[in-house]
Amino acid sequence: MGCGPSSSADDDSEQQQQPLQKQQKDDGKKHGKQKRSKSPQTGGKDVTDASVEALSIKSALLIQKWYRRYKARLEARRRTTWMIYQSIEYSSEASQLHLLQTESSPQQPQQQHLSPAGSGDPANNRFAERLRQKSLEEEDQELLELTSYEGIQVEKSYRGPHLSFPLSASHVQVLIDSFRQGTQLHSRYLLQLLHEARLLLKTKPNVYQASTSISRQVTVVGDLHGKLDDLLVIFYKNGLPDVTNPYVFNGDFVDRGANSVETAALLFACCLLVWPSAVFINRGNHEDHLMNCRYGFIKEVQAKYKTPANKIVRLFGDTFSWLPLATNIDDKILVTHGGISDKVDMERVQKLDRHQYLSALKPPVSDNENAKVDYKEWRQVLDLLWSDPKPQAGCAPNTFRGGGCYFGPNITEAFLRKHKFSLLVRSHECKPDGWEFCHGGAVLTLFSASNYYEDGSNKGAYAKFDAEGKPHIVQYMASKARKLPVGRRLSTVEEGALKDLRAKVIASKTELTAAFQRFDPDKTGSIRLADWCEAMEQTLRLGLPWRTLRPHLAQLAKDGRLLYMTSFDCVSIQTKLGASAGKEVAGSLTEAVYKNKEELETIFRIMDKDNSGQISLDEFQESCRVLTQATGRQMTEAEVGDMARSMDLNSDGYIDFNEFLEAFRIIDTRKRQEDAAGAQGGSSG
Amino acid sequence: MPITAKQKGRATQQRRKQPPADEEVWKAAFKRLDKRSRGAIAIGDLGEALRRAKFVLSEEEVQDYAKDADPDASGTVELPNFLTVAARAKAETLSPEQWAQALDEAFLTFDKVEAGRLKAEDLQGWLTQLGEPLEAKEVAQMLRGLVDENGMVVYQDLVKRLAKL
Repeated sequence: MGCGPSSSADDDSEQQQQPLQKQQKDDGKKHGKQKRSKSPQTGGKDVTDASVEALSIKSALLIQKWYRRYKARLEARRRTTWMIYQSIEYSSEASQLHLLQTESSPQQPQQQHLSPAGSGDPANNRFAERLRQKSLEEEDQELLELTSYEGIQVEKSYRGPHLSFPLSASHVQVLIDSFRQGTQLHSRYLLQLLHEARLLLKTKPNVYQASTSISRQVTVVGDLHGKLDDLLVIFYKNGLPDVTNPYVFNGDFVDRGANSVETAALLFACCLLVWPSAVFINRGNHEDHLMNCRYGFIKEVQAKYKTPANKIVRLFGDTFSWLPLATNIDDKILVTHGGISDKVDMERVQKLDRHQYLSALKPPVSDNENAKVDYKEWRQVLDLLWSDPKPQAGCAPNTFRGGGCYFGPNITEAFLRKHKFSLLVRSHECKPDGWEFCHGGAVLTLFSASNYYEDGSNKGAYAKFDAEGKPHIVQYMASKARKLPVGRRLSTVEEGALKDLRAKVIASKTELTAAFQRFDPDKTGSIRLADWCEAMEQTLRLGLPWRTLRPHLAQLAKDGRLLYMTSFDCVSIQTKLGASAGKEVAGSLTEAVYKNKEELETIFRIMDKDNSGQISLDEFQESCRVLTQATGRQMTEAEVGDMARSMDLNSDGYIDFNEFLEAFRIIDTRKRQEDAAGAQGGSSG
Repeated sequence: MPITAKQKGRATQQRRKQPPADEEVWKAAFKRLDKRSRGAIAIGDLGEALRRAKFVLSEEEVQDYAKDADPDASGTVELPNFLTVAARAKAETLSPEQWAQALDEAFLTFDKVEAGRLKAEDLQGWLTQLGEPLEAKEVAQMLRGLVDENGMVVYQDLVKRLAKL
């Protein structure tokens, strides 16, 4: 064997075999030939030696070349995977906003009732009614009655944490320990906690003033999205909040993750109530009742709390609307969830009534027919919570997400100059390393939910700012995935992204097939690769590198043309519906429901006034009608009626929509054979 | 030395003869690094771009191509020049299968007894000192999961890993 820099005794025997290829740092040996550069040594008897040396160098070079290419290719793959996840995430957000804003166009300031077009008298329209908001006093009174914890008893069998108010530091520790073990906080305590937090938040201004004069430092944390693990890692690494260790939490601590309730409870209760001047919680775009309908928070509450879920959901929704919109640190740094725009003006932001915006997605509507909706004011809130920075100059509507703006470096520069800030800290976008500067260091994005898309997909990060405003960034990843070699970890993340992408493809099978067939008038079954790419992008509009992804999605024929129907081979949508009624649900209807699953779920939850998880047959039909009008996707009345009746399993006129949604799942057809005969419904993909 | 018109013509001709698939891969690699969508990348990113486009190149070879990629020494490489350089690289380099073979032979050079294994430590030494040295942590990343309890690497596994992408 050749020799390396190691000089251990074990190597000596091997070194005898290869006396020529020595590579050592000390000059002691007589026969030693120093090789640092590519030029071989010269000298009479060294000719053979030199050629052997040259060969080793050449070989090393080859291996190094390959490694460099490997590294670059890994990076390329990582970028592609990222793009898949992000584009699916944002297109889902965009369709959500579109759904809710169908009728609230700025050209019609007189339109007060936000109802889908042509559905008749707005007063009779239940959907619109759900979205309308009441006056503040009415609301407060109603809220207090509805969400009272007084009547709730704590059973003797309850083994979870007990809280007494006012809270103390020991309560925080008890909560952390209990949550870590997986115990749940009793609904009575949770409600009490939320009431107290809400009262405290009501006293805060729209923009918190934070100062490092006492603490000499402040920590800023980004999106957590219900990842309790990450929050506990942060507290472990950085200590619990107190007067000498203040924290700013920059929104989006609920939705998507499995522990949104616990994360929110910990943040509110402990931090706000125990250390009110040391913890600043900004509102994110997910601290929003309408977002929670779709992205999992309400689902989690219902699953965990069942009967009292309604009260909890209502109280959370209201409490979120009292969260301030930004934090000002030392008049030097502005921390807000999304970003800014050319219209955002801090003075306006200070003066507006943030509580009106129960959901940032809709302008506030009052019962007073003559009151005009203040779009300019709504804009401030929307832009702060939804915007993203972009490298190009200027300010453009954020079409990717459907709300807020894209703001360029010149917008940032003007904003910072006008308000005399030196840095904008925001979150809202997942970053592979958990943090990223842009706009020449004027904007810092912090994202604190590690493994956001998939186990191993990204790190989380938080930043500690000193009294001069200089940041020190800390990264972490709360899972075992970091121990895998990079290539292996990437495959897991990649597989997850591809799975999501295939689900999107199958959900649009009808549309895609039509698009493919336009390129194949002779019905040969194959089209050019370029045409396939165009059809995919036209239909799905995800802006992905289709050519690069092709090997994972479809097969080529021997002549290099693409067999387009193989795009649908890997997965299929399966539904249990109709099976008990002995009827097949039509394939295209299944597809329509699956494709709009998220929208349907959102609508259901809005309809579900008492948060019970059930809606009436009428409400179900209306939901489908709303969806059809908002998205233009077709579901005939007959089909909807059939579906509804088949879901009403105990014929009491009510549908459990969780069951309904669960009935439509993506399964991996490659595994179908394993799922055996007879088992109805199989397993999910 | 700047590309002559004749060379450019030949390269363009070669480009036209390529199946379009290659050019798409090259364009995609270029676009990823052109973060500001200006139709140009920094000259320092040329190596990364070519490697993402699947070329196996040494730093010296990249420098060689750099002269053609940036003829006016502006520090940036425009897309058309990049594509020309990529076409040239394609014409001048082996196919991936041939490369994988060469890679195998490269390891054999160090494995005089043809045992199929090499000592990880030795590999580390060669790769961080010979040729165009890699950093120690890069070698560690390359070998992660492939070193058995005796500190040996079955280099066939490494060839598979490197050549897979």
